[in-house]
Amino acid sequence: MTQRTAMAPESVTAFVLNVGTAISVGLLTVGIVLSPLDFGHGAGVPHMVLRIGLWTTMLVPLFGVLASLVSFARKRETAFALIASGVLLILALSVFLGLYLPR
Amino acid sequence: MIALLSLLITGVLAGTFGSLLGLGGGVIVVPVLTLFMGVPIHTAVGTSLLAVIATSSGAAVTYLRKHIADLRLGLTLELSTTLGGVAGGLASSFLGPDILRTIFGFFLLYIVWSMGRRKGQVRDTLPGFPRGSAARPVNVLRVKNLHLGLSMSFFAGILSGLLGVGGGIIKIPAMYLMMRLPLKIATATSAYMIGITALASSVIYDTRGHIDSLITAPVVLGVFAGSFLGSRLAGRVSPVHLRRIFIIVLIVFSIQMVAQGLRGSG
Repeated sequence: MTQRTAMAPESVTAFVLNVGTAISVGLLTVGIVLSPLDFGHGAGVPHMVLRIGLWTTMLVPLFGVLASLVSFARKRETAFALIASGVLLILALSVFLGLYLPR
Repeated sequence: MIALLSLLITGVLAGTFGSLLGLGGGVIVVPVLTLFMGVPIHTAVGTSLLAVIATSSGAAVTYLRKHIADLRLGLTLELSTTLGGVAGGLASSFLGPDILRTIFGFFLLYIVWSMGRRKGQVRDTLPGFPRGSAARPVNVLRVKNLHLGLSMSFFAGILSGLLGVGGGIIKIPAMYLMMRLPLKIATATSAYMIGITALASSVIYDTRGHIDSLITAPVVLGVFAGSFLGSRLAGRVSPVHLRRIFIIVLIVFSIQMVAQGLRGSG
């Protein structure tokens, strides 16, 4: 039986970033092409596609860190898996603070 | 339609210049949006943060695949940079637009000074290793002055969250001069890091309503296109001439930003 070796964390992260970027570009392009249909109203389908596209763009680095975490864990690089978890925790903190801190 | 095209062109210019000069697009996006399009500075900063994420995601793929960006070092430094990004993002909501504009203007002047003095030999390999060995992973635990690198990264994070810039202008010298890393690794690692830092603060800007999809989406798409164009143009355009033009543009931007901020134009 052959043993599958885990991919390098760099390759996994690059793959996730690449796929995320491609999806972002696709969604933003569709949203912008459709946007003249409801430019100024900001509530229709094109606007929603743009919002999803922007959120995808925003979350690409988060998925990159998540991919690194899983990859480090699979490679038993515990120290770096912990560091990646720390970064994810801080990112979660930013969402919490953004939502609940007084403006 | 004209507004949409102007925003797209702004993104393309920011992406192309950023890619050719190793900067995030923020130093172009924020001044152009605020000075020429009348966009409120907080919205401009929110837009710029998304542009920084777009630049970083595109560049990091290549740098990670070629093992030029050091993933382990980048994540370690991100522990303090993201904290700085959160702090900067929160601080910006308590600062008025005029103060933010003035700080941005002075930051542009710092970039001009920093670009003007970048001369001479650069270290492109790790000390003690032959040329070509720069691609090996850096042992984070043995990197020199990690504590200084972490401190400077925190400061870079604050700047990123406050002004919507990548912060590479602080991170790269910190990694190169303080941590004694090769410039190539420092630049590539910084390019990977700026996206994560910008994410930390962009979430805060978005939850506070400072990210307008109709402004941000065309700019981000333009930045994606501009980064691609920049990577194609690299090598065909003289970096010396490009840097001179860019310095002049930044001086004009910085003077206008500071003047507007001090005048208190709201």
